[in-house]
Amino acid sequence: MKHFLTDNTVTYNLMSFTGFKALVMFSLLIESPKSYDEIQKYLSKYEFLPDTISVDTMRVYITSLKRIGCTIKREKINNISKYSIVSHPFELSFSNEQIQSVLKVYKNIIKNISVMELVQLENFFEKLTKYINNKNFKELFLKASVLKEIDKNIINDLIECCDKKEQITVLYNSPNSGHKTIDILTDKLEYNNGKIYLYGTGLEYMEYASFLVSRILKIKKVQPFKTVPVNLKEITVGIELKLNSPDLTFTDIEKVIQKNKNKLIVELKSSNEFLIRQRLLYYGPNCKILYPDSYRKEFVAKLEQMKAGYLND
Amino acid sequence: MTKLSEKYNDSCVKMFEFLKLLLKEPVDYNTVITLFTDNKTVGRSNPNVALNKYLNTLRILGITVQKQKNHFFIKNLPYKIDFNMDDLKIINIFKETLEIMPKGKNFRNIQFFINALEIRYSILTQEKAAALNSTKTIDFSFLSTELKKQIEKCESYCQDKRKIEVIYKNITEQEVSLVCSPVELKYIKKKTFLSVNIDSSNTVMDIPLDKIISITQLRESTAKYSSPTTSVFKLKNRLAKNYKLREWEHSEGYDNDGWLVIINKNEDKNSLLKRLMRYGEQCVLCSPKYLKDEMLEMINKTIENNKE
Repeated sequence: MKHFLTDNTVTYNLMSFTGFKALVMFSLLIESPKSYDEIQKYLSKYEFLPDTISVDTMRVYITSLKRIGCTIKREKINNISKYSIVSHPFELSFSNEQIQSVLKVYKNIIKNISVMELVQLENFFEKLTKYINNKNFKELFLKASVLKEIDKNIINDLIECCDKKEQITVLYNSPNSGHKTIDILTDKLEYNNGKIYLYGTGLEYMEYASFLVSRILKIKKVQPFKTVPVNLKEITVGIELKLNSPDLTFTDIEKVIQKNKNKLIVELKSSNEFLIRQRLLYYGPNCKILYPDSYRKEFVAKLEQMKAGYLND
Repeated sequence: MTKLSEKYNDSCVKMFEFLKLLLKEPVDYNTVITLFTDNKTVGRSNPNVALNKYLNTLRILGITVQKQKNHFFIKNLPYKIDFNMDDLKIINIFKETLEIMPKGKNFRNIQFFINALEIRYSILTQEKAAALNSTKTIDFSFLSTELKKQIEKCESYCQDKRKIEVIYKNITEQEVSLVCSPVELKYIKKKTFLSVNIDSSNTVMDIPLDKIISITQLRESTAKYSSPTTSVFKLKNRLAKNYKLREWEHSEGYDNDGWLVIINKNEDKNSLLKRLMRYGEQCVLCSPKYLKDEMLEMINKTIENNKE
């Protein structure tokens, strides 16, 4: 027992000055390279220390840190020798089994959160890849990541635009016509089947549509004024849906208008026929189109085309 | 005489060794005392005195080691990581998932993961974490107490690696009995599914938990190795250009007729059929034959439903 120390907040009856100095050195060296003088100066801030350290003692501490598993680098910066810790036993470390469990939860979480939370989740995992010393983690995360090919800044900007329902001009990499400029009245972002879509009214065709975010190369402009969509041709399709259908979570384009004993009457309304058709195909044999008759005929014709694909194959 | 480059400070080493011990799990009192009993380290001092001395030193530097039920565990390490509010919200989501996870291997691993992050919080991060209210990030209200019990049971069936007989209600609400190998639980859009492998047809199926009437565990072990169900489908036009391969898929490129060929392994049969149905005439399922026939039947039934 060397000293009794008392200050206004804490009373120390016993402490190890050696241990204290070693821990301070450890914290300093993981932060950035430090010279002997810098360490010395830092330790002198602690008035209760009876003495600071000599160069030789500092070397003894460095050897001690190496002994517990630290990798210490010595380099000359502006002609001054500096030390830093490049790896140490307190880094984040997980076994392959633990990583698999974390990624399993990750894969379940992404199916249940918003796009904004998805970006936060990806940022968090990207950050962890810098701290976790298991190389497998980075590799496995990159494989599982749903945003690996998307510029997250664009997603963040789109989230903001959707919140304010902005009209934007984007550079879009269309699979059919290559790079083109599109004006969109933004509505919402959604994660579906491993992809993120921007929903909004495309002003070129004047219809509500979904745009793959991975194809949006740049938001060229947020327009100061919003175009009021005119001639927006909305289609309304009425369907009868079996009540025991496995998926009865409705989308924004659907509205339940009647509920019978075993059936639901649902109305789908959108300016985008494709969105309606996809939904009806998803319901498959569980749904029956009630109106309009012309749409029912078109839908059957499409199904006949699908069938032909199988019969000719 | 030891060279200066080889000299080390034993008490400094012991203190770090103590921290390393606490890194993975709580350590019992006897193990800790043994570490500090070495006379070389602390001279003639009592190991308990030495231990207190080091605990005080750590406390001064903001490193808290607590003792509970004869075990020491660490609350924070000398190595700190800064996490922002968004990161902390994600860590909270992981904590919330623990609430619905059965106490198996995955539960322990996620608990370890969260603890490993929390003991490395910087002071600023600790303040932010305390400020972050306990508002639920994910709404798990869809999980009733009964469903939670069911999840726990299903998870244990998956771990036991024994076949089960499931009686469930199918799409047409008919009771169906199925002998299968339980694989894992899946949480998709606020629904919980038990993913099983049907050994007779070698297909994967996700059964909604709320449709399960009963499960009986059989004596027979699940097959140690079953070759994955492989389905092949092809896509054309815009869909082919836009298609994003799933983790369980790969592509063989375009065939001579300009169709993009996709090889899909182990996707739940019903999910796959519904997904491909949505792709309309831009997609054709090629194999296996029985799945192709089911797809054709689905198309025919939909046509029949919508004919005048």
